[in-house]
Amino acid sequence: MVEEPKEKELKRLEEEISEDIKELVIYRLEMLSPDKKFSIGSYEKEFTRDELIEEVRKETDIGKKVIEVELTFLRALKEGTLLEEVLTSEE
Amino acid sequence: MGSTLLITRPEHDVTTHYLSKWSEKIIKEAKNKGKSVIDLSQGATAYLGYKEDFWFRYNVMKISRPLEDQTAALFLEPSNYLVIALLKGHPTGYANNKSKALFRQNIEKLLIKGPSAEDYNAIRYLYWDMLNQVCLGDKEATV
Repeated sequence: MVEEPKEKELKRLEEEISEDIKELVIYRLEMLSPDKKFSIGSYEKEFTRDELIEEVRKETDIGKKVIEVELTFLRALKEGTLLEEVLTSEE
Repeated sequence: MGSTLLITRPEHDVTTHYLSKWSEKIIKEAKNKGKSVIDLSQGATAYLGYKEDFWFRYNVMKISRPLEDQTAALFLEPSNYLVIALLKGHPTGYANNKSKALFRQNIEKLLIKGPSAEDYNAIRYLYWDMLNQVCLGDKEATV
């Protein structure tokens, strides 16, 4: 099936956004201290900052999780829900 | 019949080594409360845990002394509190809320210290854990 020009354009934009997001996440990971490691769920391996960056670049399952964590945090900042939840700590 | 506590503590990698050492605090608290073993899995009426992967950061310089790792403490003290609260006789819903409050306190402390704080970048992972920590089932259940 031949894609309509508009669909092609949308797909291209989606891919570009995806690349932008990856670069944003990598940029933020680069700010982390290299002397600390990550333990993630039941993964037996621990990850350094640089290993996580590589996982994001390769879009592995771990890389996608890293992106999800970053985007969840950035959305909370944007929507003000992070501070809101911090300030209502006593439930 | 008294409650019992079951904690598995494998130490086959850094993560399980950390969790094992941090579980000692829970075991100590259990003993102080006169409890031997509490099995949270059998006949469970509630689930306290995480609906997504639990993340924590640790300092590679502290691997031989996990309990002195202030970076790991940011994550493991709030999560440990789930069991500590149950041992103190609090219900599951309270344990979850109080544990989340401890995550929030750690986030707040880092926000106040600002970007120059050593673990300022840990906020996003603390937020993730807090967000994904859940109490499912009976929120009034106690052990």
